[in-house]
Amino acid sequence: MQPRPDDLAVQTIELTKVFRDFWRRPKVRALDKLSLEVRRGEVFGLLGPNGSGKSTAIKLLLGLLFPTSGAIRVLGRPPRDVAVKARIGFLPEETYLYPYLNATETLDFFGRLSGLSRVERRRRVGALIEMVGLGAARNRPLREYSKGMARRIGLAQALVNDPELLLLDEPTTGLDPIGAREVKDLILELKKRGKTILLCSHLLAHAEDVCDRVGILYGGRLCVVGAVADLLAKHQLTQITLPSPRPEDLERLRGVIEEFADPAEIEVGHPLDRLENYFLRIIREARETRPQTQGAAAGRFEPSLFRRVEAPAEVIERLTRPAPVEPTRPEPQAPAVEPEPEPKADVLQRLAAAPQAPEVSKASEGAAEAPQPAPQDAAAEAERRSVLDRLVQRPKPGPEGEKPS
Amino acid sequence: MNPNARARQRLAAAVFAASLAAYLLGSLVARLLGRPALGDLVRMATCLPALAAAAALFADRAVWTIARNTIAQAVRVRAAFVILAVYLVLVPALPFLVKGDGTLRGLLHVVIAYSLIVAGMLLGLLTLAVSTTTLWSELREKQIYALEAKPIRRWHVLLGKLLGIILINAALLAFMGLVTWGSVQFLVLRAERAAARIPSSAAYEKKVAERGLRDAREQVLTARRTVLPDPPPQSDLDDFVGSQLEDRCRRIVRDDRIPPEARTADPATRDALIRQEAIRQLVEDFAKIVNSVPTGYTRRWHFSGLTIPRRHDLNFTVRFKFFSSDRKSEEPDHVRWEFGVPNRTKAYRYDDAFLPDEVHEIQVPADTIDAEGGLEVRFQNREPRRPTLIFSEADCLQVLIPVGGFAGNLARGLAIIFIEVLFIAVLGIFCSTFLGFPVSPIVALSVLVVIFLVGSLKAEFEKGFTFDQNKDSPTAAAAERVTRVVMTGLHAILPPLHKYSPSAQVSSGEEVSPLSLLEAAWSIALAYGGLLMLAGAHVFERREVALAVP
Repeated sequence: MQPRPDDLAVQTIELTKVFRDFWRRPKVRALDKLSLEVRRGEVFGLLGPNGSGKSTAIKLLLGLLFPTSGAIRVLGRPPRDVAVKARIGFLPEETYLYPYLNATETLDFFGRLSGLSRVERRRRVGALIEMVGLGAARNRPLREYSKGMARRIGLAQALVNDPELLLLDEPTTGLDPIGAREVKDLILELKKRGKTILLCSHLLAHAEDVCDRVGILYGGRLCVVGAVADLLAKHQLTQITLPSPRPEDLERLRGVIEEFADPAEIEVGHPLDRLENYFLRIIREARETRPQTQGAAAGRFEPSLFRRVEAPAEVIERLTRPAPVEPTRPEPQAPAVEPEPEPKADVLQRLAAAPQAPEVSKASEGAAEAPQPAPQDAAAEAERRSVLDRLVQRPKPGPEGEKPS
Repeated sequence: MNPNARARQRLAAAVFAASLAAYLLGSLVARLLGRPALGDLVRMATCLPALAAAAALFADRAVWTIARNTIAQAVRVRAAFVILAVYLVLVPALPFLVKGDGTLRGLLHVVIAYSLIVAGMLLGLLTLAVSTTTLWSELREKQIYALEAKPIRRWHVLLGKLLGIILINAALLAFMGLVTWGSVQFLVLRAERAAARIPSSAAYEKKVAERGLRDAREQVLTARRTVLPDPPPQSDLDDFVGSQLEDRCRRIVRDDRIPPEARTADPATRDALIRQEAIRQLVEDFAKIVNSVPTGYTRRWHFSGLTIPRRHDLNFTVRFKFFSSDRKSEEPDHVRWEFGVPNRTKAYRYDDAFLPDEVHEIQVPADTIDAEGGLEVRFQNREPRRPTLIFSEADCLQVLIPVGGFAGNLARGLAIIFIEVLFIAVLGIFCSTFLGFPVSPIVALSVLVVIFLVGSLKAEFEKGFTFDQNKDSPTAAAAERVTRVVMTGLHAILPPLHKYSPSAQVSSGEEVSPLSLLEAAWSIALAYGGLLMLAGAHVFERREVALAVP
């Protein structure tokens, strides 16, 4: 199904960027005929190793760089249109803010530039600071911030104008697992409210958790684009999860299954919990016995800050339909996205330092769903839910009365 | 940005551009017609719309937000405080350190001049540093990434930076002006107290102290307008030329000093050319004769347009400087000054001795001025060593009439400093739109140096300086021609910063006239500010800000 142009939040057509030296000689071809389409309301992950052109693409989308050739539309307009800028938020790769301002002044500054009224700024600035967990550090100058705190204020800065389209360059880099989880939950909450999010990352696990669709860049070319579930599903394998049976029952089951498959290809074991969940549980326990650390605290999504992006019913209907099964292949020369072998994916996995989540536990899930827990690890699941609940729930019912997820 | 704001900014930009164009055109016409008053009129008419348009451009929320951030940067990285600290170390201690020439007048002169020079230099330095680096640091620290993602235009950033620097300078300059004013008040008060404490038995000392106070008030703590003497009447020149012409023509023929082009011409043309040469020589001679006063002779000048009340208790100043034909003498020459016309106005006579080659001032009661605002001045050379005393330069004799108070003059002087600093800010920001650190401060500084070099070189050339003193080196002559052409070109396009010396004017009680302030505002701040900001915005708009900073 081909999306219509007005469904696209971001569109690039054969976008090429060549960096030149002082004498205008071409030095680096950072992007090579990149044709990218990000639909309204989706979370799109632009993945790739360092130097693959992710940041260059984002800079072009913001007008920080000018294309050598090709065209860009952001929310249907050229990227340097001021009206477009009012509807987007941008978190740069590293948070480049003013070290002599504190958190409140920083957000007030960017709020003023976004054209927010004094009343709006007063409401949003404080709430955003609380939301990203910097309430205790709001009056400290940014030069005293740790990398993670700087990342949080950067995110708040990107959200100050309640943008429709959020461009996040490495949003979880520099954050601890708690912070990274909060950011991911925030992304999902924003998506629920109809926002479009384009993020680029080389932390594949994080991208996998939140993205509806991903595109993989290498050497300035888009190698593959598609829904995460479709790209990762191993359609020739099937996983069955059930409460651990007694050993004799397990033997019987095995006997039954061996009637259908080669015994060498059957794997039986306990699915692993994700390290992230495990880590969050340990920290949660530690927090109950020790006082809060200074600096960044746990944030809490503040739904009243973000209005729902209004979209025509037809568009919503189209977007909520199941994602297309076939991954699109924008370039004929890109490697085939057969389940196996996957040479590009191998390269990427080697390049990515982040731990990969075990794929077996994910293969059967929908693209946008958070990973389902293994049923027998009920305690871990309870922990995880409570963290999520705490992050998402609001203390008082706001004007929009959002139910905790 | 809403459409209203955009329309308002377009209108403001158009009004500013129209004012600038009208100013440039009007000044050109005034110069071509040789009518300086027309130039003043043009400046007055265009100044208000231009200022209003500039204010409207600055009155934008994004511009104001960037400006506030620039101020916060200058304050929090302590650049402004360092400048203030240096100033506070250098200036307030001054009244206690300097003695001047021993008089209150001399002390005030030094304190005012020094404190204003220090203020101008420190602010210039701060402005150069901030203006050339603020945009660059924004690019280098990549804060521009976050800025660029907000709904503002790049020229908002430039204007915001400029407004921030303007406000910092205005605040600092106001403070520095207050320090200067306070120092002056303190010194006067101290002198008044000291004079009051002198017992009435010491009448001479008391009189000296009171005289010192009066001199200080009349010669420093005032704003005096300079009036030059009327040129000698044309009839005098005509009489002189008429009486000498035939004789001079004969002498030219007799001494065989006929101009070369006349030698080959027909007799009628030849006579006309000889006559022309004779007239040229006589006009030159007349100027020399008029300016020279041999011993025993009296020279008379007339001043007109002196618009001050003709009161005995009100003084004006006569400032003069003469040269002596007796160059070896280091003795003062005895002269007599007479002011006023007996029977028509009050008349006063001063017999005194003055050193040649130095500027002297004498105070003259204002009741010497006649009802039409005219003043008759006579100067007699009474030096027994028989030198000729010469008033060769145009400003060798001036009358300074009080037209205002010290505080107003100080404020106008500070305004000129402000205008000069504003130009530095605009220059710095312009340079930093396409140059990085340290290239942009170096380039900006070089431009400033060239401006002052061209100014002083032009002044030297006008005084008769030449590369080719002996008129025998073709290379030197060629070099001089090239220099003159380059200098004239640069002088025409560079702002006339060198024309204004507010510290010298304010400290010697000369009026910084509102008209000269207006001229400085246009010729330095508004015209160059507008053009450079326009060029800077153009360059910056077309620049990729995410590239490595050059």
